[in-house]
Amino acid sequence: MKASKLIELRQPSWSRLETLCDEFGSRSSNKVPAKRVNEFAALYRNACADLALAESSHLPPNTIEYLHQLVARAHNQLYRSQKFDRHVWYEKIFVDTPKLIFNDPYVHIAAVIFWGLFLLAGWLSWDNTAWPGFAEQVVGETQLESMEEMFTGFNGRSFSQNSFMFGFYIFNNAGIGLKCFVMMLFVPAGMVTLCHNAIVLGTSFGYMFRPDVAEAGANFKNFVTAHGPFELTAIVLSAGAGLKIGLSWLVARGVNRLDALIQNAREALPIAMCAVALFCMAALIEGFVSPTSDKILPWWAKGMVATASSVMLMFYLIVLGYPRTDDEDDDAA
Amino acid sequence: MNAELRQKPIANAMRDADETVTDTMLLVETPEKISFQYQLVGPFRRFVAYGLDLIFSMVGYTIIVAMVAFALAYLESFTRGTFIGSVIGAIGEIGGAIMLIGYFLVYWFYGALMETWYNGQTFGKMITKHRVLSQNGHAIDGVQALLRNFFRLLDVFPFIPIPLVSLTAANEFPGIIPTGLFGLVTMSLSGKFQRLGDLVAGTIVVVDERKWIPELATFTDPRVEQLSEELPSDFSPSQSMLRTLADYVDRRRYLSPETNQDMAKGLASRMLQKFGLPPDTDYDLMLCAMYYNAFMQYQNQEGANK
Repeated sequence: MKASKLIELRQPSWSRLETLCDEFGSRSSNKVPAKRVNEFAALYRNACADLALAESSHLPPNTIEYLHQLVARAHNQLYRSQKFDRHVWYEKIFVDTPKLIFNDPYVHIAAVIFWGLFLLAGWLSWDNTAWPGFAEQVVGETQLESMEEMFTGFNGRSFSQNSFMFGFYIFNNAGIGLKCFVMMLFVPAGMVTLCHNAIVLGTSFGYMFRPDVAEAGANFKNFVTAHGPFELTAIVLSAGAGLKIGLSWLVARGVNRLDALIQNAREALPIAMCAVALFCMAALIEGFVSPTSDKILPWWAKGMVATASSVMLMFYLIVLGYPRTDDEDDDAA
Repeated sequence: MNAELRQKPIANAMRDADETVTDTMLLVETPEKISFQYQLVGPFRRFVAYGLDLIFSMVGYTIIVAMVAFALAYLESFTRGTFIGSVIGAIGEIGGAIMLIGYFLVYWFYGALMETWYNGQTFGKMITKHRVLSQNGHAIDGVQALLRNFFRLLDVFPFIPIPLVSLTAANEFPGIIPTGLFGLVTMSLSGKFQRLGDLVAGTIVVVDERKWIPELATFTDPRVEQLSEELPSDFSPSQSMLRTLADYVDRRRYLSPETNQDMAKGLASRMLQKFGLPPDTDYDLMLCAMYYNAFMQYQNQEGANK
């Protein structure tokens, strides 16, 4: 058959397929009637066959090009993006992710770096004899003074201020966590971010716990206790997830670097999302529990909140994360 | 056919499916064992989609927040003291938090959620007819959508430091104007126009638009049909000759008759000689007749069967 005849014969079904593609568009697949889906599938298979035979049935090049485009377009409608599935997500959040975090060496490295620098900077700043003037040199005198001023006479906030600050903490802190995660793709840049955060936080803590900043120090202790565990863990997790991606293409271990990058990014994302969730929980506590004055909520009560959140973290990361023997049984069965 | 003919002077390499594909196309093999091509989208067309998305997400969100805030303030002004007034007052108490959380969600998750729910498209991409796919040509999943949108943060690097723009604001904002050079350089080097986010997520962006079925050429000159009758009935051109003929006929109307004669001469003079036709036949006419014979005439037995 000559090309003109073939095109004439097939044209209606091609344009019908185009119309169906337009119609399905970006709608989710369960909103399309089953009849249309059947029709679509048949038309798609026909178009595939036309494309396969295009060369041997002597179609002109521009028609072949058109068929490529048509099949590609229909293929996009046939194989669609996967929606978030609730059951899969439960499994991901409470089974896979804790194990991933528990076994992840990069999270351990990030934890050691963060806590090491945090404690070192805290001690240097608090002690002030081994490296006199450490806090002033690192954070800056004006910054320290304004922080001290902020916590002197700190006596709780109104509800609307609290809720505004809650929103701000999510926006700001979770944003910083995600930025740290993303920056780690270039390991040195991400490391600077992580170390900077650890040292500045450690120095501020050390400075505020010095005996000579008594009033502001007491308020500071009152403020940071409750949300500390969630927030500091979240920073470590987002940095660890980023480090996993950043090192994956540098140390590819014989795998194609791009493939290693894609694979590790896929594994690291749940850890980063876990960090975002922790930032949000920390923001909730930091917004509503931490700023209440110690007359309403004494320090030991905030300590209880911190203990409870630490226990929850331990449970999630260690109890759920500990590699169990029955996993292997499951695999065997 | 001799060596000169095999050079395919105006055939496009892109059309040779089994030869190398040009770098703006991606070849995909489906489960149906069909290979087809996607057209990849370059950086500047994608920038348009990104700009539209910025307008839809950030500007759109700001406008909605402002409108809701004004509407609530207006309602509150004459319902003060009533029950509705106190409800509005309570919303006002947590309004700031809702606004900031919404801003956080729009900033970090707009693209990812859109691309997951709308099969690789955001509002901007729907307008510019682009779609995000996995490198292997399949649809993306939520993980890929999140990754490629998170890592956009790096693609807009580096930032122009404010001192170059305004000295007064320099202390408050150290660097604020994104240049997008990281993304641009990565896209130029990566071969499939992938920015950093695409490399991390393993995704590509392709054109997804409706095209009209190309028509075969029509000839007003009756001599084309007459001459095609003169060609031997067993004339069956090779695949590369068909391509050459189609390319020539597609383009001849954009060129001057003299140029057409020159271009057609190489093939036409040899074919005239081969078929024993008079050598002074118009070269352009000869190629048109061959095209007509190859693609349009219904005369062989196959056509009769259908």
